[in-house]
Amino acid sequence: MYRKMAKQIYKIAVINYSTDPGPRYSRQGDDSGEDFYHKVLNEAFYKALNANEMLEVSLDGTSGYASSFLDEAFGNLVYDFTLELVQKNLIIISEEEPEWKDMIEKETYVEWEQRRLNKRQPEKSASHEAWYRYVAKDFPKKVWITDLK
Amino acid sequence: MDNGLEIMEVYLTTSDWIALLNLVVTSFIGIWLAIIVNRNFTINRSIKDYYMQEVKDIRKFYADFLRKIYMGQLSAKDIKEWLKIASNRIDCVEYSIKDSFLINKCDIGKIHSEIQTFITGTDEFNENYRSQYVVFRENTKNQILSFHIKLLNACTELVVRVNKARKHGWRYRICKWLKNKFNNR
Repeated sequence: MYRKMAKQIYKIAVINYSTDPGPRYSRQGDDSGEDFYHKVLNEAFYKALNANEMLEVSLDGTSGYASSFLDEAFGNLVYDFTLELVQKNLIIISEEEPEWKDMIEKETYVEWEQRRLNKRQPEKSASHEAWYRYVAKDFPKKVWITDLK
Repeated sequence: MDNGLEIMEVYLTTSDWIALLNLVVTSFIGIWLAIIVNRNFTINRSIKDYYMQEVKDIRKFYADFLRKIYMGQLSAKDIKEWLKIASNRIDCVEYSIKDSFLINKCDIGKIHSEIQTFITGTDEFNENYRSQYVVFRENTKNQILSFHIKLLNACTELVVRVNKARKHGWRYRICKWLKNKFNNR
């Protein structure tokens, strides 16, 4: 009998990055959504994809979130890896405030996929090391955006 | 004359039996009304009063928070942390109300989530993240005010619903009992 093998789950938690997540852009404050994406989320998602695993991101345990932090972090993920890959390979856990999971999955994903299709680049407010992006079934790593706002 | 025990034979007619049955049933209903119904009514009333007070408290503490927001007395971190505390409190109250009474519609949590998403997504909140206080533009304040009105209406509606609500039936209680039993395994 054929049984579909469940993927392994690679887990990360925002609390290991910061107990007090900040605003949207790096220039606006410490531990921003932009910074979390470039320091943690992009790399973690690529690693999970490369190892044929699911990535689980826990939002619990922090002092709270700004919607802009989550929008910037998970929106950039959709922009760089496409909505299809993100929906298939990312699990968001938010027991304390389940409304954030709803917001990301129902609003951020849709808006940022549209942004990707319209080729409207995300804004970067600080320089970042090279990051992964899904391009023609490959994941090249480079600094994709150099203009800083 | 016989001094022994005299056994009196009693013959009851149909109407006597009906009268007797009537007496038993009436007594049973009286006892049921006096003890069980009255006790349940008192308990239900106390629980309803408690939840109605909780909803009124949420309404008040939200109004205090938004007053400080309008006056620019809070930092971005204060706002973010307060909103998380409010989320937990509202979730807790809504869950308990839905668990105690047959109420399907509680919109406070949903509107709170809209307020939280809106305020923490504004340019003023993000651009002044490092500042001691966040001062919102008039246009933003007006939008917050319209959310606030929605929240106040939701609180009032919930108080009315709790006041009228019936308790869950046996089906809900059995399902809950089974769910707890399987979850504890």
